Amino acid sequence: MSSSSLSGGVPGAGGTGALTSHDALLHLDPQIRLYVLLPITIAMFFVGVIRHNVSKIFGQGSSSGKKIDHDGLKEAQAVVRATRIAQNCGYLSEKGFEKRREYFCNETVGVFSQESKKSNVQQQMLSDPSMLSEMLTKNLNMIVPNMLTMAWVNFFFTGFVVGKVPFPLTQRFRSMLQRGIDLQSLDVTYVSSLSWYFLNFFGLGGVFGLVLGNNTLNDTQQMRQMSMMGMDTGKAFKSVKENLEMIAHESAIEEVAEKRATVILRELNGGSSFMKARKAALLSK
Amino acid sequence: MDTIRSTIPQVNDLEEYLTSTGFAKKDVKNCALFLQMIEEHKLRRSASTFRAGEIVLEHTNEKLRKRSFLTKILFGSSPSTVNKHLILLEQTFIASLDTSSTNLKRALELFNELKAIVEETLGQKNSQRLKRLEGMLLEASGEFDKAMEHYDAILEDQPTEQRVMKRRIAVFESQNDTKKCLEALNKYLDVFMDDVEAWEHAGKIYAKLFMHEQAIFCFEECICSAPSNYHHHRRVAEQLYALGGFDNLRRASMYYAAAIDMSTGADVRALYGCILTRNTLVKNHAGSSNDSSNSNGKNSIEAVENLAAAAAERLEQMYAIKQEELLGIVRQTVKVKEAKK
Repeated sequence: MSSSSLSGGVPGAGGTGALTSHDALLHLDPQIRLYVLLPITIAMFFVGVIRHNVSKIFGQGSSSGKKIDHDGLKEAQAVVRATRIAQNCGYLSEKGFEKRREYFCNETVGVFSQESKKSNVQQQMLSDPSMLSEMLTKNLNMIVPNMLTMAWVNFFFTGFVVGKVPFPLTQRFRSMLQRGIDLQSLDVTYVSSLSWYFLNFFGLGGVFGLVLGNNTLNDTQQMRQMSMMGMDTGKAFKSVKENLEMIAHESAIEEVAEKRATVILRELNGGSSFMKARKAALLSK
Repeated sequence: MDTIRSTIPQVNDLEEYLTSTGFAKKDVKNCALFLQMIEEHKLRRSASTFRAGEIVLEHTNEKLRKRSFLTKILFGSSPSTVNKHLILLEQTFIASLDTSSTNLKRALELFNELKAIVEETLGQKNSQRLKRLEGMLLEASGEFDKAMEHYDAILEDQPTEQRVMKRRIAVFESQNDTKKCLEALNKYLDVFMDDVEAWEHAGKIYAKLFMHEQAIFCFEECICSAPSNYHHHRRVAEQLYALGGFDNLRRASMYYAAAIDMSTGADVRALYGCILTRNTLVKNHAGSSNDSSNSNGKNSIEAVENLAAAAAERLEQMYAIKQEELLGIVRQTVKVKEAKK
């Protein structure tokens, strides 16, 4: 394995403009491609595959134990329902409305008088250690292999220039493409081994998606639960409760409805169109 | 694929085309499109869905058989292909449960295919979705107790699995166990109190049991979520009418009026309803409205009378246009009875 990747022949060119002419000066050994560039990529790919499968095994164990927040779901639904009732309470009978208000706003047993049981994520973690450990395994599964591969790349392949980007780049890309090499004079388009590792790290996601796929079958439900989770029920409770308590019930179903209906029917009987009948009903008020 | 948005009339058109010629011609492309639309609108048109699903399934199976060895290796178990196939299978399976009520052989085949893919290709030995589907299959073959076991097992694991809770209600219903059905429905509504269809269903069950007050409560909930849907207004009115008593009848007439208003006189049931309400009011409470002596009472009876008279005429006209042969009978029925003096 050639280890003399950088030692000789680095041109003194600093600016981007002059670089193209100096290209030929830095010759990358084809062995580097075989023994550095490809191994890093292949290793990362396989680590990714293994990680996917490991997370699947762990995930299967924990997903069945994962409980959806029963109270959170109920509370979110209650808020929606109460808002709706507040909006359209005119169509309810006085008694029906009072019953519902009692259910939601009663000072002792009303739904909205209770402390919101849906705990936020931090509290949940404190009360439920399994959640913490689940998160931990997830993170471990994520961090450990990456750290290991990075250490491996760092240990075996430090200082290699593994490739060259086929287009000119500005100096700002130096930190991205030449990590691990402190050579101001080296052209920015050359990629160091460590940077190659990072490029793979971010770039292989698409390949994994293609090859391994993500199991979409159960995603929709999880998404919905997530959206429920995001709601701050405590605050919503307060505002909806206030809203409901303030409402003075006024029935929209009154004798007026009968008169309107009579007008409409008479218009129709007289041979008017639906539109005309509706208009007459509006005017009759 | 998911950017396509279709409208219900489009779905209707496509279904009409498919049933007239598309199915016979095995128009795979349009069948697939139809299935997509059904999924998009969450419709339940099982007969067409089943036929379309079978055609698309046949097509994909043929394509799979024809593929070369290389493409099989490369794309055979690509997740997106598998997922698509699974969704297609599931859709067809559920439709087959609806259509082949006597012969469940095809449904069983489809289920086994699904099971094979989920358990072997995807490696999910304990899929709850599959368990639910198996429960549905058992339900369709009349083994309600076994289906219930499946559902209970899922619910033990995930107490808020909405679809399974609904299935439990359906099982009790098919067993004609109204009490347990209501129990399950109440439990469901306690959590998912935003589900209007469930409220409506509960209302209908209560109405069947002559528990009118409860039924009114449920239907009122429906009105709140869709105030311009006249069916809900009419249902409340019907329950109020069934309860009887002067105040309830008065309110019934008002709700009937609202239903007539919102349907612009098209709701025949509401038209009959307000005539019936008026007749009962006059028959049973002619005295009370006058006796209650507040001028309101007299006034309100007048409004009811006017409405009923207009409704009776409307009905006669409607029948005269659409079904003349029934006109005689209708005249008899809607005849506004004279108030007892």
